[in-house]
Amino acid sequence: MTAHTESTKNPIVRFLNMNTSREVGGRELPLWRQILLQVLCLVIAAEVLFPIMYIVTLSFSSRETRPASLELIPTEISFAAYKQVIDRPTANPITFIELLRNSFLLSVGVGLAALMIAVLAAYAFSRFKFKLRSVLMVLVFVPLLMPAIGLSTPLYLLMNSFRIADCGGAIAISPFASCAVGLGKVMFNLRDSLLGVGIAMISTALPFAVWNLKGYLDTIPKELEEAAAIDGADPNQVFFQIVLPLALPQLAVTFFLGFIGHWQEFALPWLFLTQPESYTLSMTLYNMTGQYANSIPWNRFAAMAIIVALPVAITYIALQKQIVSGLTSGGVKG
Amino acid sequence: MKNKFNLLISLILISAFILTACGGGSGSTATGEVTFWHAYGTGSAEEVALTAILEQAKEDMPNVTINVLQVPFNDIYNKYRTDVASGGGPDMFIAPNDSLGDDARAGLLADITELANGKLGDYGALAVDGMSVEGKLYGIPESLKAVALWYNKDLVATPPATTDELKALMEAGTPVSLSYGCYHHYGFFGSFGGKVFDDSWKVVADQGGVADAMSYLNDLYQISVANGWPKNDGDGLAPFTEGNMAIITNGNWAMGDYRKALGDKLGVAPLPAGPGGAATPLLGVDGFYFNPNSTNLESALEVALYLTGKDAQTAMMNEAGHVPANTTVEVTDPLIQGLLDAFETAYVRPQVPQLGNYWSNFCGTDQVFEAGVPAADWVAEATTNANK
Amino acid sequence: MASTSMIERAKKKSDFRKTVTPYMYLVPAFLVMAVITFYPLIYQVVVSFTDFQTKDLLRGLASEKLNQVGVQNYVDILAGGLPVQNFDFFRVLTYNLWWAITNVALHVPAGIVIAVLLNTPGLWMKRIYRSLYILPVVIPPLVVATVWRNIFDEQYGAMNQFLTSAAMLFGSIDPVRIRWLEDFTPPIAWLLPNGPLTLAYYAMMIANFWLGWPFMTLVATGALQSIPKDLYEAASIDGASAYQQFMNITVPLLRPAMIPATIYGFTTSFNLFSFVFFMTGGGPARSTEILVTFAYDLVRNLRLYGAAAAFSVIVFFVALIIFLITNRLTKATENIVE
Repeated sequence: MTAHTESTKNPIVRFLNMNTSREVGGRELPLWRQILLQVLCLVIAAEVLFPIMYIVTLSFSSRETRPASLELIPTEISFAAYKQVIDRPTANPITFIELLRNSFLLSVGVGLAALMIAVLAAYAFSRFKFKLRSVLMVLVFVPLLMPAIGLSTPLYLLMNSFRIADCGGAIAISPFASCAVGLGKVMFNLRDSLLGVGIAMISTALPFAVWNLKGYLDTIPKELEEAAAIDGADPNQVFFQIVLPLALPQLAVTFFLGFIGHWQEFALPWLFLTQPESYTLSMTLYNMTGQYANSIPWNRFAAMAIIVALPVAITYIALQKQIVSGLTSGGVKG
Repeated sequence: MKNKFNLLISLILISAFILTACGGGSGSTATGEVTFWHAYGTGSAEEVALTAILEQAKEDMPNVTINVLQVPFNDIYNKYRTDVASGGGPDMFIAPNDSLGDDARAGLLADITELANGKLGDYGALAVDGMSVEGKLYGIPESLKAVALWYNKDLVATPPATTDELKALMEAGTPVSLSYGCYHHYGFFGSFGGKVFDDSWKVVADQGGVADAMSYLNDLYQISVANGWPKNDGDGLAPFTEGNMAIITNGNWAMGDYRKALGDKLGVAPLPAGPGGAATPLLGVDGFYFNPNSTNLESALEVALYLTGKDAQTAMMNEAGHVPANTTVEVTDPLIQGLLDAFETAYVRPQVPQLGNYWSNFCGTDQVFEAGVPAADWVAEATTNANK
Repeated sequence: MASTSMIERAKKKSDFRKTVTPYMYLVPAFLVMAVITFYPLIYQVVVSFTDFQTKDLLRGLASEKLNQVGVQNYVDILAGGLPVQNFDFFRVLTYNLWWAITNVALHVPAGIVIAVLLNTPGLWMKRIYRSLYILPVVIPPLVVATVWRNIFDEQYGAMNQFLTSAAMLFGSIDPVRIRWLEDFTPPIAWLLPNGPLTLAYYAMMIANFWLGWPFMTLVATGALQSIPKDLYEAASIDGASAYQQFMNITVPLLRPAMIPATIYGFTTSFNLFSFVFFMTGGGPARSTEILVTFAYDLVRNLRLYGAAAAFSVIVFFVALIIFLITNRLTKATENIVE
């Protein structure tokens, strides 16, 4: 068909109909269609980048107030906001490095703990058939249906009941013992510590990790394990020496998914913590928005937002294929 | 010879007195750790001034370690209440006396009547009253706050003294940022002769000026909407400090920020008076409140007295625009004097539980401003609901 | 004889092992969950029958000031007896469902169309576009919500600034000052009869659209790449137009992957805390309030812990019903495909 019509078209039309598809033997993509599609893609890209450019531009501004007209490209590149955020992130006596360290500890700690406990349970649900299997599976997934904020009050009270107090001489560890008179001077309150927050965060992290890992483990073929069982290996050996190494990439993905979620979590730490030394980056970000709505220091907020978003962005972009397959396969198998 | 010797002894004694008086710090009895919370915005004039004062406190009170936590204003009450109720909390926190009555009745604040006995000679009676509930003292007053009218002298030479003048100014197109809201516009009720409560704390808003005030405010609100002017103090901060707004109504906590931006161009006046009399904004007292769970109350009290003492309050006044509750502070700033004058006719915020009836029923002002419910009907309905 | 009993004993031992092993693997998880998940869950249910408030925080359930109120909390929530303004449970529930459904109804088709667009053979810079389009998902929700609130700000918002520039192209002088997040009057008065939709809803729809379609595109791209190309070739030889190919090949083959994605998107939108909380705080007079933000309000601001517990239990049942329905739907469509 092309040969037939080519001779009748003038050079411009021929140019526009040039095949731009570099795929051999596939469908053709004439230039005009290519241009049209490129324009569409660029419009979509503009829509995606619009808020991102907005906040990037804000972060390079040296003023705390917003510009009166639309500015998507930075008119000035000033690192003042970044510098201020790193020097003195909040009015509280805590440095940026400490905030970073706390965020990191919390996210990694909760992610690892949840992962290690969950992989055992996920393996049991995935591989074994036992009487109470469906009942226990429902029991594990049911907490996912309850809003997390609903569980926060009992967790608050639970963590709060564990205190180490100085009763003017003797040490009392509640809930096992308490001071004879009053509450004593509280030296350690589990609720008011990163440890307590971490334990509370595991309560929602666990069901999600089990659900996710079970979906992954279901996709691993059972032949290797069956062969090992025939060879005489007991279930523990099969798990630790065969399944676990095989599942390592999926374990990593589950860990990173959890890490991303915990990195951004601010509601629970905000509820529990009152010591600035335990504050995390996401709490500080929330701290900046919580003040009188329009007196948010926008350039500093934007700078902090970008700093908090970077690890998440890098992790997600690097692992996007695995993350998506995990989320959707888990949903199908259920 | 004897006379010279006596003179020498006297001189030595006098210098000793002077030295110890100047030393100051060595006489402080505060020890241990004192934790206190505040809600000043990061980087605001108040927060900067407080940090400087605390630096000085390290020298003046060397035996005590002061830990400070900043909590955003919209969360400080919640955080304090939950923490104290569950057995923890800071030794003290500084905040307006918005909910002093409720917190005191809920047992979340320590009664310091005995502890502070005899130490409050420097504070005005109005301020101490603002910290008391049913005769018992619950806080050390720090400063007075109420809504006033701030103006940019370059854009409007004389501020509007009456409600009619204000309305005319707005209709003529002078950009005005009025703060609408049950707290911010309370002062206008007095301008129209309206009272919310009678002497027995029954709500009597439907008898008299409150409906007129709401109707007037509604007119102004529509002008604000039509011109796209800010309708609350938060939105108005940037335009006013950048010189785009001639007038803004706000509490004097923002004076530090306004003065930093406008300098000498800043002026202050009372909210405009009206047909019913002078404006009666709610007068609140900021103060330090103490935690009944605290194990270091005496030291906390010392720290609070220091932070509300003459030197600290002079700094807060000059840098952050606080109107000090401490009467020994010398007022030289005309703005502060202007505020003190404006506060003369203010309505002292009551600490009775019935005040909650006002907040619960009279804060849905959007019904009048946005949904178009006539002011008189809305006030009547709110009054009936409040008196149920 | 001796050997068989030894075998029997060995068999019994391994049988015992077999039955016990799965439970051994489950012990760590259930031990931990017993303390930090099940205990709080049961605690919540018990609290929901009391009037637990700040006064009881110190002693918890052992508090002397605690009163048992039976089902009063549940009745209050469902019948509007809570001491809060503008709260009607069924209006909030309907809005929440409507919010989730309309969002997904927008995101999934948009995601599929853009995925198909990106999948065009021979398109230049495909990889760059793909990496770019994933950006909305990687930014923390807190940041996204605050930025979008700023965009819809009346005076300084980028949206109004953008509209002002566009209006100026048509000769208008006055700046555009739409009050996206505060305006009371619903632009389409009859939409959602028991609780008309304010402008804030549309603003949040735009914001959530920005956030929502990239994920759908991601899933659709993965699924598209597994559709064999010869199907399209065969269809075009048979004379099918691009549209017919799309409807009869692409859509059915995308379904197995898009169904779980749709359900995931529905659940995410249903529980989308960040936008509602940071952009409107429940909206002008709670018109954009969803279940999770109201739960937060009950716990944090109103501190009515008993009512909050009852509310959580009610939301749990709502989520359960939705889960059962979506499960039924997934199984039904799986059967159709197979």
